Amino acid sequence: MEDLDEQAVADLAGFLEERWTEDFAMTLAEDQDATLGFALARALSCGWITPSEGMDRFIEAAQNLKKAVGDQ
Amino acid sequence: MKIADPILDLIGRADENRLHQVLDALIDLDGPSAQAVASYAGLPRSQFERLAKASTELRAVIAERPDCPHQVAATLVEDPDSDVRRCLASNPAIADEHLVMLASDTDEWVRWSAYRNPQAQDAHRAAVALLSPRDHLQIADQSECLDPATLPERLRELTLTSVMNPNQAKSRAELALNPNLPSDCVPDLMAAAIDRREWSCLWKRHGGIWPTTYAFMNPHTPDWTLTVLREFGHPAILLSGSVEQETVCTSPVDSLVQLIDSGLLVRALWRELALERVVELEYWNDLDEGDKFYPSSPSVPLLDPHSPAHFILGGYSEDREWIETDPYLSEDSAVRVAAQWFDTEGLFDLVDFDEDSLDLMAIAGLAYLMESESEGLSGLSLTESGLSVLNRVLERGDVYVEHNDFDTRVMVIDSSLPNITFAGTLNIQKVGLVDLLQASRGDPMLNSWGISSHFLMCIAMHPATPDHIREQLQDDEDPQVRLAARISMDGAQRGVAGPAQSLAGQMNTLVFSSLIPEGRLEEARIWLSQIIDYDVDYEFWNAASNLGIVEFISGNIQLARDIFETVRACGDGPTFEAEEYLARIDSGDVVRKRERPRYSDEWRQFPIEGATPHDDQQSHYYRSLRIMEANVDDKTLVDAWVKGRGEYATAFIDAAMDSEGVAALGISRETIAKSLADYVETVLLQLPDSSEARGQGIADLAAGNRPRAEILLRRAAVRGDREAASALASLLIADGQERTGNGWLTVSESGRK
Repeated sequence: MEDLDEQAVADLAGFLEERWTEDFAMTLAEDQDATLGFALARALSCGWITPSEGMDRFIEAAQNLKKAVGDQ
Repeated sequence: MKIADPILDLIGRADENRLHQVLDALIDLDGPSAQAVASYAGLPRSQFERLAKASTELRAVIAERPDCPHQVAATLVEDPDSDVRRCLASNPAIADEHLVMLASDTDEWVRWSAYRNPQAQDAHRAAVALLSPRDHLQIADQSECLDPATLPERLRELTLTSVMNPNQAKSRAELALNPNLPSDCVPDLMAAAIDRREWSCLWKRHGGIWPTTYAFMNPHTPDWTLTVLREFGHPAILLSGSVEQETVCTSPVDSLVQLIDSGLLVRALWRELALERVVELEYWNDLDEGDKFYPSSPSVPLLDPHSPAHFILGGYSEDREWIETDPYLSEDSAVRVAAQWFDTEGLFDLVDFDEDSLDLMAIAGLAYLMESESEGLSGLSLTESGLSVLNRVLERGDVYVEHNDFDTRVMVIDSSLPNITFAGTLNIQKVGLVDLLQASRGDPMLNSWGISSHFLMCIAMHPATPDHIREQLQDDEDPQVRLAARISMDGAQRGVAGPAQSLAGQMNTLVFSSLIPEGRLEEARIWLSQIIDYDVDYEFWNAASNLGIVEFISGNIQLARDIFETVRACGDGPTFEAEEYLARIDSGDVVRKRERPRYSDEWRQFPIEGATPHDDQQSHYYRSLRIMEANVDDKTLVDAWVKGRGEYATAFIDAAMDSEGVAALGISRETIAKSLADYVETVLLQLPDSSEARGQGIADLAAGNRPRAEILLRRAAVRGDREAASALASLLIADGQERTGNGWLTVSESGRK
């Protein structure tokens, strides 16, 4: 995926690592697309996959969840 | 249950002392060998006495035998082991005095058996009733299907009823086990059998493994014993390395069943074929149907993993010490397992929220995306580091992996019976084995289940099989055996053909999977013409489509287009493939035209000797035609062409390519193939080229040469000649072949040419 925002992906991966607790996991459990978006972000950051078409939807869902959770 | 052993019977009739020696040697081997001796129908009294002092298992076997001598039974009735006394208590020929003793035995289950003994009278049952709980005093009804006392006519009626109802699998299995079942009922039970339980019960009708067969299965059997058994014609001589004997003294069916049930035949053939890389040994974990173990060949379909033949020959066995299995998770399985965990357990299954669980969640999420969202994320795949994380996560055991999820590698290791072999036998033994397999087809299971044919295919493909046996197998009654023999004549059994079922299907697969990728396009044309000239239905159109691919790759774009449009018009073949290539042609995706030697009568004047420019394929082609004219018997050539030109051509070309002159001159395989095809078809058969095929076909039809006319019209019609298609349609419809004729009518009306 050419126009994937690398910084956004890195932010999501960092956010996931920082907030990885049982409470956050339960929040993720209510939004599968966001969960998959965070999974993609971690996988991209760690080099487990390379960007490809169709990831935007999940990354966007993860970003929305990150915004919603904010600094709680 | 008593076990027959015709070899021991023969030895006993010839020399009783020798029989005792052999039996004692087999008892000394212990384990299943001694158990089988204890069940041997002709067991002499001295061995009864010996076994009465042997292990509990062996004492139990003889205690159960109705022919157990009275004095031996008198010892066993006071046996310290209750299992032995229980077996004696269930012996239907037990002496009254022994039954009385056992009816008041201290062991409840001994009394239970005594109560149910057919010899038991009221006095015995009363004795049991004094000591046993009431619920032990019920006698369950014997199933009529299983009861050996049921009359054969009644068993026939029960068979007819049970085969009509698919739900009566239990009754059918019991009928199969009934020794009184008339043998003419067996084919009906075979046809109705739906699972391994029924197959197993039917197969058991062949009886058990003979004691003497165990001798060949045991690496510790003394040589003198094996020598005696060979002298008396045990069937294992056919698999015994370098033994100059091939006369088996038992019936082909009994002999083959011994070689199968003992695993000796599978050990010799599958093991050696795997070592020679002719087959792959496959292993499937299957908790529902039982694990599967079978050989798989890319050339011919050897065994269907869901068939009775597979169940009888393969399946899991602890006894197969000549392989090692190594369970592993393939990448696909690992992704599937992780995806399933994410979908069913996922975040709710996590306990610790550390780096490991974060990796698990992320990698399982990716797996889920790969499995469930593969259309939207078509480029998603794991890198090497991703794969390594996936494996690490699964190895940690946080995700439950079922038995069926594992794939299994099979490794062939040293056999503990190195003398059991096919490769190491003499030709006379190999011939004996082939004769035995062919003669065993009188048995419905060996024949209809394809067991005899399976082993004949294995032999046909075995590199150590001499050509004269392969020639014999080319006339076998089973077309799959014939095919295996044909493709193996030139060593092509090592992975040339594909897994299709019909002969035509196999040829198509061979062309598509091997000849085309290897650029053997002239040869591919020869193989395909064999189907196109004679075959009909799907494989005909598949061959036509493959011919289109050959022409496409050769750069004959117009011809390829004509063929693909014909395939598309018929609507009965691989139309998707035709559409795909037509789209490629339309988009300008074409390849450079390949030069081919041209046929012209000039070859007749071409010098048969003398220099030709290196790599001048046109000259080589003319020279090859001259050489064929001078050296090849025309009638043999035409006969071979009509019978099976593909196999013949490949063998011919291979032989030609092996000659030093061909290599030195740089004559290509393609040139030899084309000169062979042109020599037969143009020179000998005088078939016109495709542009004149229709006209000549119609002329042949008028002249009453119907077979030749049909071939010519078919060839022209495949290449896009709609008038030829129309003439062919009329010909076939008038001949009563309406379905095929109507197919050609559709093609003729499809609006081209």
